[in-house]
Amino acid sequence: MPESVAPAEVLTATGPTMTHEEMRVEFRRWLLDAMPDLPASPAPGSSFGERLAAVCKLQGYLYEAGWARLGWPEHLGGFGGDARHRAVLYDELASAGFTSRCALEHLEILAPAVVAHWDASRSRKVLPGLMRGSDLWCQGFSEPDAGSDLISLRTTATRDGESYVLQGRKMWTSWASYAQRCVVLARTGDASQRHRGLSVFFVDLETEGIEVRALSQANGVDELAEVTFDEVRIPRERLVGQEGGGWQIALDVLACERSTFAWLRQARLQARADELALRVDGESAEQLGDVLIDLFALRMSSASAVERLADGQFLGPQAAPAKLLLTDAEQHLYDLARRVLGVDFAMGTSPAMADWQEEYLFSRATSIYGGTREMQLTTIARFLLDLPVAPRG
Amino acid sequence: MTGAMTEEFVQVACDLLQRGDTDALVSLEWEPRPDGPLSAWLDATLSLARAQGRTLAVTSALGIACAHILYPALAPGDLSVSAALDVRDVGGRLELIGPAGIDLAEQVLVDAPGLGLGLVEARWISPAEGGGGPFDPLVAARRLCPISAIEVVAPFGDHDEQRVAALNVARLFMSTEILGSCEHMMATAVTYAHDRVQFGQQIGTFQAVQHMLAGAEVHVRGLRSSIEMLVPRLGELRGLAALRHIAFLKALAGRTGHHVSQATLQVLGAIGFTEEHEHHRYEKRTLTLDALCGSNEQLALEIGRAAMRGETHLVAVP
Repeated sequence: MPESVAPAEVLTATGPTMTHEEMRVEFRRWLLDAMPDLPASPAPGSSFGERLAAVCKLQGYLYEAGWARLGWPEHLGGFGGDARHRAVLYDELASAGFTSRCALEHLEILAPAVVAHWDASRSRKVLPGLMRGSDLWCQGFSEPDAGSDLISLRTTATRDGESYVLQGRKMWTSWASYAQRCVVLARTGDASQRHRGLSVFFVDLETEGIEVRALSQANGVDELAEVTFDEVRIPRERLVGQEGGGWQIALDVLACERSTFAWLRQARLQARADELALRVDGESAEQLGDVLIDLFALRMSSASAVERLADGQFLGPQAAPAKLLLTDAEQHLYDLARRVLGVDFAMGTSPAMADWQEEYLFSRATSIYGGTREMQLTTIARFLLDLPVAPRG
Repeated sequence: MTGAMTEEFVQVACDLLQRGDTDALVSLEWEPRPDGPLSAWLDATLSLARAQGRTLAVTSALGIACAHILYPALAPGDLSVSAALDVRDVGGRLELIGPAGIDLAEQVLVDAPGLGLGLVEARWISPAEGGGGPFDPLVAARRLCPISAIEVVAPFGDHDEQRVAALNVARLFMSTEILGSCEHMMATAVTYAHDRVQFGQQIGTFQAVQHMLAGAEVHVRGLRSSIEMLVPRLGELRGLAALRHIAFLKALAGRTGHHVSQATLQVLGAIGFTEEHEHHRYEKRTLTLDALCGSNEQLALEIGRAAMRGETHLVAVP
């Protein structure tokens, strides 16, 4: 690692006590010095694998310098601080042009819930690998017959002495082809127990009996995968939290996926909006302004979610509005891109245009992943507005 | 967290307004601090703005808050002042559009084109001809006064920052008032969705109705979070950076007001479209507030044009 990105002196001296405001100033200063030696952002048109490699390499540098350890408790291998420190890190990286996080998004989706529910001695063994970017995680929740209706999942985990035996199939598992670990939601009780019969396991993907098959997506990326568990034996210590307590962990993960994740995403979207602004003609200025207002609301709402998480609160149903603000902002941005880029958007073959095309297609799925738009609206209606429930039958 | 976002504080303000407290700012312990940041007294002012939105009350709070930019030692009751920041030169006279209180105040603070911030004595102000008037006469009034009657107290140039600050305060106030109005419209529509029965069941059980209200709630929460997160970070309202951030907020508020008005009317159905139902009063208030000091469309255009020039200004949150 180049000398300029060696452990930051300021962190060695004050890391655990640095406020997030101080961190913003110090990290910005450090980035300025270290920038020439940091791995460059992937060139336009890079493959997903190339992008992921670049992001992980950068993360490794940030970990060694100490910055990627801020925001995580010291007893888990961090340097202290909270979610606000991590948010500042992502914000400043985006300002410096590093807007992609790829699979490291799970630092904000999976990791907060896992470490909140799991024994600290176990979390300490696995978290540093993710912080360093050397050990990637994925989220094994959805199944062929359990998407929005997650409680209907069929993957089972049967207790056998000091082990559990996993049997079943997960679908739409982001990053599974690139990850080493999977956070699996499985049924440890019988189906009649509904959500009370679910548990979470932290699984090594190289374990015998696991098969990962990449799914090629409409946007040309193989981010998603199918993961099959065929009598996979998991040590009991890999049970996260209590047996039967998996639903609450899943809810906390989903709350992060719908809210604090939006903080990461807004940074990327803002950077793309700024790029697009330079290609917009006067006639589209108001539409551009509307997109930027969407992004403003998203930035403020997701920052609010970060603050809540930093105070130890997972949002629960209150995360749903943030996810819908993200959906609107992302789809409106790429709708505008399609209009502004015109024929180039549909027919262009340059690497830069390929990125716009891929991202546009991905944006169409924003209203699906992490709980569909309709699920979020129903959640808001039931739990935030307390609207009546239709009589069954 | 500002007091404007503390439900208990806003509820106190609502109670004061509903009791007809004529000096609600005093009751809310509004404390001007001549040497402190302007944001120090925003809590009471914005709580009152939000309560105004919920109750349709009218107070002099906006005028006092804007006047405070020029007179930092001003205390409630020291000055009977209103503020008209939407001003046009119409053939040697100024057309003033401002809060309804311009009828009652002894002086009106105006942002006079080409001159700067000025004060006008009430006796110089006359009703505009032609009738029609503003959408909501309870919120805004349209009046005329001769340019020669303006006493310029903060001319352009050296004191532009005071004009910016007055505009910032007005936009913040109006954005927060729109939030209060949206909250009230949502609460009314949700109650109606519980009470109204069609096809043998409460209309709130129908997914189409649930999703319409939930979609509106997303916008309300987006606006509330934006005010909550932005206000404590403004620190000083005089700067151009604050002007840009508050322009985003005002545009968002205007958009939200329109969206929530339409969605809640749709839930209320025909009864909501009657004169006797309160809905149209809240809708007209949001329409009027959106139009004043820069509509959401005008501000979106400004924001878009600034971005086309490469000007990006993100608020440093969290």
